[in-house]
Amino acid sequence: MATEVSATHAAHTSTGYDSRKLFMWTFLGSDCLFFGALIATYILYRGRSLTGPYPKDVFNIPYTSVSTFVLLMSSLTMVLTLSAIQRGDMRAFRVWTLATALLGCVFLGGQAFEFTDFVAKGLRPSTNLFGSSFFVLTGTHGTHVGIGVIMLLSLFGFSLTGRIRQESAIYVEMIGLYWHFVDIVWIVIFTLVYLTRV
Amino acid sequence: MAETTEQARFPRIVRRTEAEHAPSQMTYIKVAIFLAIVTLGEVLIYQWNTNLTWLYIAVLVVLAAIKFATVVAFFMHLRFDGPLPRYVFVFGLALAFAALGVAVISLKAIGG
Repeated sequence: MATEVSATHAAHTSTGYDSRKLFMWTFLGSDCLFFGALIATYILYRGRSLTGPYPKDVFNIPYTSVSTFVLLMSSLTMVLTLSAIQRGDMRAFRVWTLATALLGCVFLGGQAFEFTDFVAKGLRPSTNLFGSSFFVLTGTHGTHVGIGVIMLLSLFGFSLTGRIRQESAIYVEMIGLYWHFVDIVWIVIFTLVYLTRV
Repeated sequence: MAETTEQARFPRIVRRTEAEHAPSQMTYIKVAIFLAIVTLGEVLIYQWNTNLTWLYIAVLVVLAAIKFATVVAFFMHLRFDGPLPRYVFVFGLALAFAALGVAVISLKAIGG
């Protein structure tokens, strides 16, 4: 049975995969475990808070749905970023990189507003089990998004100085994998934390 | 010549060009529209007032799993990248589910 390897990523390694890309997949696999632990903690503590506010008192589903939509669309712009650099279209690459970073900032702004709103409603990390597990989980995810935005803006800056070119597409692919991972984690959080009313 | 030598060293590896398997930009846009529609479906299901809690949760989890798999397969290119990255990622995912399962079972066992 043959193993198929993209020519772009073909490397002179025994696996045929670029080790940098394999590193990113391994990191993402371990990050699954990290977020899995946080999500498990949230689920185990759900419905065990002795005092309010409770999820139904603070969640604004239409608002969070818009944030979810923004993050999903940022995955589209990210994959278009990769497609652009693989074609050697640096202008499109810069446009899509900035668009992805901008959408990430919009998501982060939305999360900051949501946190502020929750605090105004009396929910803090120290208020109850729901507050502790919710802020740790979504805050960790937001931190990941923030790191992604910093990496995207760095890519944009490096492209202006010529340090990122078509030959460096592997780095864009690695950052793209990270960005999409942040997106799929949010898909799980949105369903299990926001939408399930148990 | 170099390629031939490499093929001789690693005969299990068959190289394909990016253009052969990378989805087109239109495919990416279609996938994004699909994801947006599924998200809209999730929000509509949220409005559904039902006593069938298990069914409500099952439908939402299935929709989330569809979105998850779609992003991983198309945007992360896992569908086109060969088996090794797939194994590595799925192994981490399986460990995460195992951790969740152990946590839930332990809590039930101690009567939590």
